[in-house]
Amino acid sequence: MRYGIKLLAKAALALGLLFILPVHVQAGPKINFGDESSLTINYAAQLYLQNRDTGSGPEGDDDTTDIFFRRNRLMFVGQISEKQGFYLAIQQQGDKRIFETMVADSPVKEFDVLDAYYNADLAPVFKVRAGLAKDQLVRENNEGCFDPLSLDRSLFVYTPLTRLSRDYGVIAWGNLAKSKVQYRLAAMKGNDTGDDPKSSLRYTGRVHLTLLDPEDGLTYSGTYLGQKKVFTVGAGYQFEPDAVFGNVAAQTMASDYTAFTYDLFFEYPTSAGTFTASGAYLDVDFDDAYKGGDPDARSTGLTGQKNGWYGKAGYLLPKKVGPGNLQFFGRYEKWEFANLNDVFDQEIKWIGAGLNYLVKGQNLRYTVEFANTDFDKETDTVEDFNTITAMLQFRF
Amino acid sequence: MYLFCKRNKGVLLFITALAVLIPVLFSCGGGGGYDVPETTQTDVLITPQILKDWVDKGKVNGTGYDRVLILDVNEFRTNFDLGHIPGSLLVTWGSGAPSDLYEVRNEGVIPETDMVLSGPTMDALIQRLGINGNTTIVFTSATGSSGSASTYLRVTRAYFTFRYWGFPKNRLKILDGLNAAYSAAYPGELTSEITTVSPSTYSVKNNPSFGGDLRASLQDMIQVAEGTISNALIIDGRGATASCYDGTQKKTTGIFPNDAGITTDYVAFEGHINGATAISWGGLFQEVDYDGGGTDYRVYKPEADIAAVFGAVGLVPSTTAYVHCRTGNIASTLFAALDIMGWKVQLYDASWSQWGQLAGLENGGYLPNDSPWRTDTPARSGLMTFNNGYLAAGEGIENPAAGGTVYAYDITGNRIEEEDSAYYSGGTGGGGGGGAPGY
Repeated sequence: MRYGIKLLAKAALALGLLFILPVHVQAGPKINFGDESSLTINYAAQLYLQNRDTGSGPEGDDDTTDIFFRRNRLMFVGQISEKQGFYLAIQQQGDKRIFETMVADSPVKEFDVLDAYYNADLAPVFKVRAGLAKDQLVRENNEGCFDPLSLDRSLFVYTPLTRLSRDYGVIAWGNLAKSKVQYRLAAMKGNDTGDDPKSSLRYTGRVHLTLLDPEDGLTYSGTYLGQKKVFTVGAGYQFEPDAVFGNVAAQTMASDYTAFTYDLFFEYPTSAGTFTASGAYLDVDFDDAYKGGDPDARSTGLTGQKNGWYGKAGYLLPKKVGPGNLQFFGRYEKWEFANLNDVFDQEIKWIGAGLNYLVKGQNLRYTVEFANTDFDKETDTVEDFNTITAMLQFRF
Repeated sequence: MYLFCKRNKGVLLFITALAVLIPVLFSCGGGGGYDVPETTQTDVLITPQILKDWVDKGKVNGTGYDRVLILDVNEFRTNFDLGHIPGSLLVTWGSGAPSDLYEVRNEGVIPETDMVLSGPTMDALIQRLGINGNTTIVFTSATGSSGSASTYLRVTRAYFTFRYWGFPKNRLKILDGLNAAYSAAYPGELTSEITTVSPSTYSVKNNPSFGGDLRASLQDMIQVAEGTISNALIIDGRGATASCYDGTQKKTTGIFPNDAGITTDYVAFEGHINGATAISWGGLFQEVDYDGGGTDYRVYKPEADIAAVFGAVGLVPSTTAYVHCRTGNIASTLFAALDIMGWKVQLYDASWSQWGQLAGLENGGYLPNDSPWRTDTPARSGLMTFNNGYLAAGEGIENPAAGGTVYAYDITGNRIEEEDSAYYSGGTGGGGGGGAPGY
């Protein structure tokens, strides 16, 4: 009797956990092949309703309202054996007009093979990923796309890659000291066009130290929704020699690419709620190629030479509000760009605040965010603006 | 205290995390700013002293993000050959020579000369001149007759062309007083030496934006005339009296070769667009007597005086000025003045040489009477004097078909900007999404 009650209680608890705050649970169909192999298909989407107070009308300064898929993704997770697997993701985005710093005249859409890589879990201290995979330098870029603390990760934290922040290469990584320390080493394609001074690889090294519960995967979370106590500090460095020309027409001023970052993530559940605080600094350098007579476009712009940081904080209420959980968030960012849309030494301050309503954790989530983008130097084509976004996120 | 800390451990850790994070990011998180090209820090109108400083520093045709290109916009090659600022490159304008700055293009309904360059032609020009994204362009002109304000319209037309194709304002300069001012300040500095530059591979598609909203098409002007575009004021830059504006007959000559037996042809009617006002473009300039021997050159008046000139006809900064003349050249001086001040302005590129041609057969024009593009209607034109009532022997009304094909029932009167916008958007620059590549 007692055993049965305990078993029932355990079953009830297990069942209940599925409906409390699942974070990475994705319940797509699983097809088994023999004893070891399987294929799981998952689907996740983020549908945006977004309004910006500029970008339309005869003079381009009337409000713009847009509805589009920020991410619309089909994922295939393959397990070949106990220690080997693969991952494939294809994604549709759009059709959208509202972008990070401007509103396009016509809607833009994309369809891509997003990720395609092989995983080998050889040992806790040594794992390999090879194929088309995430750039490993920046923490927030490696937080799951579907579990951010705020509406999305920083708009300005990306490094210069043209493959949707993914790259072809090999990542060796592992966890040490009982998963208190994690390292990542990557050799990837980086810049790869005929306009490059040399065909070089891009090398990345990242390490983090986690003081409470471990973050022992390659994908972080923007919030663990109170399921973990996390305090992690990390740093990374990236280098690609002879990445761009400062004068493409003359093929002179060969410039190296370097980038470094440091970051902190803290989240702690308490009886008063779950508190989250996180921030990072990133510096991207092209050896001042932007000063060349005809600089490579990759050394300027949003992902060109720049430095900046973000800070974000969140508070998850301890009890449900209605059928779901309510989480408040705010974030602040400050970035300086060597040359952004032909404005030299441009500075952007970005501030946003909002709330998440998690009906089934990250599997069904509503987010509303208000954001202000402030340009230090305004021109006739560059003006401050406000953006309001409502997001529906669902995962299967 | 111990119990408080124990029970509120998470809150205290959160506060500690913020206490570490905030100062670190605010203090250590600033990698510092970046250098800014000196040449982008001046106003559009520059003095000879500023340009001479750039010449002496080796910025003209130099390397790096502060390189300067001096474009001498000239009607006659001989003027340029006689003397120009060292390092200048010639850009031809207008009659007397094949023009680098114009094309014959159809604004939907009828062909027009002196139209803004198409995308491929503009790219060919800027590549020949060696222009790239980090070039500061100075417009000037070697004048055949010193002191003439009419030389300015060559330069301001070039300024409009580059603004239309998205070159940022801080990269475009006009040498106020043109070569005459430079020569007065630095006698003996002008040269006949020819400079060559390496061509670039730059395209207007790489510019951060397309300036289609700086140019008014026929379609735009009809909407303004009929009042469907609000907060707008049409300004004829040729003045209000003894002019096309007041209906003086035979003020606007044709733009295409005359038909057989015709020595001079005119547009179908004179007058002005509904709601238009007029100023004399010469009133934007003032004379400079550098050496006490009479007028040496002209410069733009101070901004306050120019604002007063436009203010006298009711223009305020929040109203969009639609400026025109006969072919969009004189009006480019008004465009430049307003654009430099940061006021809203669009240049009606085809101007009255187009508007005045779009009359119906019943009024001596060449459009079918039921063409939707007729401008000889009370809803669109405030005053109409039909030239066919005043023709002398050897004179005629211009037939627009002499320049190409007439599309009397075209579905759009905005073809040039539609075509140019599509050309710009087909690039890899700011015309696309402009978003970061990461997702």
